[in-house]
Amino acid sequence: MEKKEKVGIPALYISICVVLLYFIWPYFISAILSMLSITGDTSLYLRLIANFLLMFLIILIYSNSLKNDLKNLKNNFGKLYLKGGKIFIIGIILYTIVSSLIVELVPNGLNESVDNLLHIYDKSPFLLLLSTVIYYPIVEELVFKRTFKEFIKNKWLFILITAIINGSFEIMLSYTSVINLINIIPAIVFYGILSYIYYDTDNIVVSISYRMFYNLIPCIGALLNVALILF
Amino acid sequence: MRNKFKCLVLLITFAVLPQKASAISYNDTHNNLSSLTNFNAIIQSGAVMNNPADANNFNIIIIGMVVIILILVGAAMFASKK
Repeated sequence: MEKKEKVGIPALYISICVVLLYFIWPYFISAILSMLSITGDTSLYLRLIANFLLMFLIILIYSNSLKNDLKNLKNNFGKLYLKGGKIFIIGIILYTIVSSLIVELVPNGLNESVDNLLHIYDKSPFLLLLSTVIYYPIVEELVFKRTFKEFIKNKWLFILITAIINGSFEIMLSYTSVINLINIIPAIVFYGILSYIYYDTDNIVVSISYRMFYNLIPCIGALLNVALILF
Repeated sequence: MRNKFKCLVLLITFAVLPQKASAISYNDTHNNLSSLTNFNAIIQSGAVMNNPADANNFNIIIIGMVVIILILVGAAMFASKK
């Protein structure tokens, strides 16, 4: 008789620890920087280093699972990326439709999260590239999706919960006007696509790669834009 | 069937692209934040930006953290019972 797999308590502790670490880390780093009276560009670089340290800590926590995913990806590279690619293309079309509709219907409802990101890294496009292409995809996919995977077995419930949590945090942490909360809708669609990819391929590396790819395109555009202005 | 699906995808893509372009140009003219802001409309979902200096963010983080932990514990209990 087949034994029913039970969700282990250690897995729950690990997930809770990862969530706590992700949310408390920026405050911990801020406290250290303010204690040492570090501000300006130095603070920006140190925060980035601290972010990457957090990323390595989370990778270390999930190292076994990531190793398995990489091994699985090595054996089924084409199959997994093709499966993820189909969902990604259809999802991005859907996301673009929703996003365009929001822009048309609510022209003042800007996504301030993007403005904040561009403001912070205005003087350092290379840091913008490092953050949006490497740090955010890896950390957010692991924190907002990997932590839930073992506990939410239902496909649509997993997609819905992870997308709502990720999308809500993105918009709610940066909004200054209530109208800008409308951007939660396209954000949920976008993160839902990545959750769908993760659930269907059962490989977090695939969803991380697609998010990296998505963030890479506008970043290259941003760098080219800066280059055109400078030269 | 497959051809029909391909046609539908192409149709949607071409219907959406001009709208997206207008969205980008809207942001071009209405935002004067920085040179990088031109891509504001494209990077719609880049990252969860948490500014630790913002007191309002701290409240959201606390509430969000509690909600996530409750969901995790609830889902773990439900999954174990199953």
